[in-house]
Amino acid sequence: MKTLFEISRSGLKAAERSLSTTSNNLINADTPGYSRQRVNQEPAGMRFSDRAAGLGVNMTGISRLRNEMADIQLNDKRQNMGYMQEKAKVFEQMEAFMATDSGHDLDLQISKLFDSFSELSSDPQDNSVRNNLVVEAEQLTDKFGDMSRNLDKTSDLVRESVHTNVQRVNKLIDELASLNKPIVQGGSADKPDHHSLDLRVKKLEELSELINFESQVQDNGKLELRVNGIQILDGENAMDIKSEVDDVNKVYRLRLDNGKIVDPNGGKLGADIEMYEQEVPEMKQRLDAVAETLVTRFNELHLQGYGLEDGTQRNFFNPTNVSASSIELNDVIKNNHQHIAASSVEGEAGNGDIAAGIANIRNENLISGRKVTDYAVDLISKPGENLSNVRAQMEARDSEIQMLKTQQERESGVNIDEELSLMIKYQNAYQGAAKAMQAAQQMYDTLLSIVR
Amino acid sequence: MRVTQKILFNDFMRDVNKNRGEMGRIQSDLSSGKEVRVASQDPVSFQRSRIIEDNIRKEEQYQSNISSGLRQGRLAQESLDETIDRLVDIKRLMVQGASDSSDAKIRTNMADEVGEIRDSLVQTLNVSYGDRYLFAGTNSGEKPFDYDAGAPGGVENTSNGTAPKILVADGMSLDFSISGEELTDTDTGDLFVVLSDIEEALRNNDSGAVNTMLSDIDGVIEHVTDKTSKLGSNITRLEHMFEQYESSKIIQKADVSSLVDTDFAQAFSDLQRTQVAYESAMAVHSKMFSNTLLNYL
Repeated sequence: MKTLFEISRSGLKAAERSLSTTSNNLINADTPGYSRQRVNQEPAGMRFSDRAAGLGVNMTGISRLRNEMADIQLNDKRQNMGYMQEKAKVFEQMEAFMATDSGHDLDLQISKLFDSFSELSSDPQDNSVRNNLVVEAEQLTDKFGDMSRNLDKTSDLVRESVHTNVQRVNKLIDELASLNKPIVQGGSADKPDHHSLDLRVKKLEELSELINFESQVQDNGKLELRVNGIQILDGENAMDIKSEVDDVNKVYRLRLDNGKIVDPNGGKLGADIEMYEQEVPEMKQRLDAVAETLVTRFNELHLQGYGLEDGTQRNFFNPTNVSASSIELNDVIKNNHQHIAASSVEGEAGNGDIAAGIANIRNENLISGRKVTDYAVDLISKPGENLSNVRAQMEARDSEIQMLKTQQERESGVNIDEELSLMIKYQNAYQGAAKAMQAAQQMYDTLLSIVR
Repeated sequence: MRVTQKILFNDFMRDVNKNRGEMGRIQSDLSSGKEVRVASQDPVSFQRSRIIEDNIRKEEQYQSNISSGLRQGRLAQESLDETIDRLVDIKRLMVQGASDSSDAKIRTNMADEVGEIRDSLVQTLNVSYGDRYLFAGTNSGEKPFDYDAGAPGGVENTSNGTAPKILVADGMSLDFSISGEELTDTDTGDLFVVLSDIEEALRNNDSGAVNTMLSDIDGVIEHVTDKTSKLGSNITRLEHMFEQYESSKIIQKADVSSLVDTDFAQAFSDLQRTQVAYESAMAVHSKMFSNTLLNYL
């Protein structure tokens, strides 16, 4: 009869344990990385000489429900998503200053300067036309300077962003390393540390947005991380990533403690490095190409012409400053608009041949076989074009991620209704076990009363 | 299949955000009147519209050049008409001077009159538009015609042979005046030389010479008329080109509009559709989330 107490005691304990697990699930229903848990129960029994009898319930442990495959796939998509989000962010910044909805962009300024020369060719003696031309030319050089400065600023911001992200990656890798210890210990004692495992999921999730990596979990639960084949985490051993920047040549290197170089091509870090090393310098280079082409070609023609005052042939732009950041008018012309050369013959005030020739530069295929304004339009719409490509890809990737998340959620997510109904079930079980104990108690009392 | 609250919530948030994004887009399409404001919205349309707009600006500049050319050309044409009138006056004087009924005194008066006409022609042909002397060729910074007793015909001509022109199309220019050199260089010699010869013949009372010179003045008138009609045909051409640009502008502006402007009917019907989706998402969400076992415990 003593077994009655044992049976009901195990029942009470099992119900209590299950109830607390369920409560924990309920409370963590919205916690990122949390996986729902279940108490594993087995019937306990014993063989007697004449029969085999049940002796209550045995708790064999608590299991954690999670789809590890979905996690790996999700992290792979996440790093790609992080990569695209970061790129989209930078392209958005670039678009904001390169192509505005007001239309006052590089292409407009260039074509306005051509228009001014077109007007000058028809009216070479008019001073107001000359003044207006200089104003337009200065607005163009300002625009070049402005764009160039903004590109530099973007480059700086991206560089800063790499720096911050490297720090965040380092911190996450350290945290993952410290999580390895309890996980390995728990694993070897066959009492898995669910809490640390969930934390690891969350940290890996955060890390996957920052950098692309391959993760490998050993049988004992030890985690190893590699970035394009280079190991950055081995169990409790985390490599510290250090930044090496060459701002002149736009090179950003990530070096590990052991001297190896990591070269991420995914996640925000991969995107930032790519923007810093390629996209932004390429835009700047193209902008410089426009500036240089204009300076060279304008000067080439302008040098063949004559102004209104004397027979000296002059440059239109300062020929030593050919980059977008430094392009400027020839000082002599800025100070005396009469020196703008419209005429092809010295002393002919009404001759506008040179101005007509300069106005006609707009029809020449000067840069990569394209007209200057067409090339400029192409240039200013490039960030927007990239942005729209990335956005389309992001949309597709987002639904993939959503599907995988749903898959994972089906396995590991907490359904509140389900937990609530389990709660009732365990409460009932507890009451049942208590009832059994009460019955046993009464039986003992009955027996004892006989003796008394 | 297990469906957790989180799955429902995530799906709901995603759909609602999508709808809100879509509604935001439609709203700014409608309020700005433009569907493509920045390159990222539609890179191809954006680039095309910018290139067409550049072309429109270029052609508008050509139009502005043409109107300036037309103003100057018409002024030049007026002066030429005036010149022809004066030359015809001279011819009338000569016809009288050649007849035997005129005597030396009358012929001297006539010579004076021819001299005056010549002087007024110098004034007429020195017409300027702004700083530009219209009959000076490209040497238009200075007066083309000036009295100079030493020069042949008594008038010095500083004009050159290149007529002033304006840029009217890519790599194409049109003359809007006649250069002084071209104008005075008639088949019968320099215009002012012919005039001074006539004046001299009248002053010398040489009716025979005046008579023979009648064909000279005819040649001069014919030459100037020729040049005037040449200028006239250029002016007609300019007017024609202006109209051409005007109609090409309308077509191109329509192109730009179809590339970047909002299709209002489409936008409104999109708005309607998205709004229905948005509102039903909200309604179904509040319904779904009040469904929980908690209500029955």
